[in-house]
Amino acid sequence: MNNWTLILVASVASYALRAMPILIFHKLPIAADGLMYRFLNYAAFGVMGGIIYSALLGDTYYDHWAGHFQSPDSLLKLSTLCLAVIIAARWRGVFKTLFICLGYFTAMTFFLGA
Amino acid sequence: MNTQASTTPTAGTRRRNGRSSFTEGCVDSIPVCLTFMFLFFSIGAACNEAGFTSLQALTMTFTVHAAPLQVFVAQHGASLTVMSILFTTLVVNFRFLIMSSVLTEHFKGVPLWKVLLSAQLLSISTFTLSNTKKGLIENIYNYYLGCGVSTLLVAIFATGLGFWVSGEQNPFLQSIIGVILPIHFTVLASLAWPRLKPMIATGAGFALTPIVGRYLHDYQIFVVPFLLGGALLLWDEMVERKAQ
Repeated sequence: MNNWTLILVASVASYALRAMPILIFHKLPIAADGLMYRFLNYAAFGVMGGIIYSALLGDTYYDHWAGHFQSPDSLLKLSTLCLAVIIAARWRGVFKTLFICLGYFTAMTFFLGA
Repeated sequence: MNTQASTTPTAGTRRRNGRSSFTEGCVDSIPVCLTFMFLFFSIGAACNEAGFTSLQALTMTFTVHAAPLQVFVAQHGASLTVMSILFTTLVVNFRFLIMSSVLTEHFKGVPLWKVLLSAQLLSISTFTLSNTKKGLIENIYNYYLGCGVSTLLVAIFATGLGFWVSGEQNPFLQSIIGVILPIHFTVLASLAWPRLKPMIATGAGFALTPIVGRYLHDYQIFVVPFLLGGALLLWDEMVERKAQ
């Protein structure tokens, strides 16, 4: 599939998800504790975890799992994510956490030459 | 509490209130815009690396306007099928269904065509801002428009900037830009705390990606979410049965 087709399919599907409730569920209550809702909600967080991994480390360590803990670059990235989890869960600021973690990553990369 | 239903302003007042609500939305979304600058900057850079043209990168931000899905498309590119994109869109953007349903309630009285036209502006950020301000803003729809228009414009601008700069940056800068996106998504997922299961699902999705990816490669994107969704649902059921 070429890039334009990819964009078209993703665009139409995304818009449909945004617009469908306006047309269909306008007057219907949604069961937030229903099976399908909960399944997709959990799955969405799982996808999010996968995206975070791929964006951070790519497929470099697919065949060498121990490499996650041997490479200084990988360790620094993983420690940055741990820091982000702790700060975001404790103080809840998106922008603040982003800046602190970027500062940490930049400083450590600079000093360690990772 | 002033709402559209409880007041009967004149046309002039409505226009002024509309304007101020719109402006207030723009102002309130400044922190989101700054975050979007970093986030979509890295998406622009990722699109460049993945072989997309600048027009394709900008069009994708304008028409898809969902960062996780855009990253997925950029990461997997030509290997994707229509079904795989549809499934991923449903899974990643499922919250749009709920958010849109909630906002539809807030926008009662606004013509349907206007709501449909502005549906593209819906994102986690615009929803959160609008939902929080409901009842505190004179015209919540215009407030939503203010948030949505400003964040989408910034997203498009940042995508173009990221696309253009990515070709000329040094490895140090490239390394820093590369971690913006994972940090941002990690922060968004961590905001679910103290709810444990969303955190577990995200952490397990992260940890299982290289394990399942070793054997299934690109297909891991379908297997891991299904496994996690099913496992956590089973956990829910077991807890409920024990409680009974």
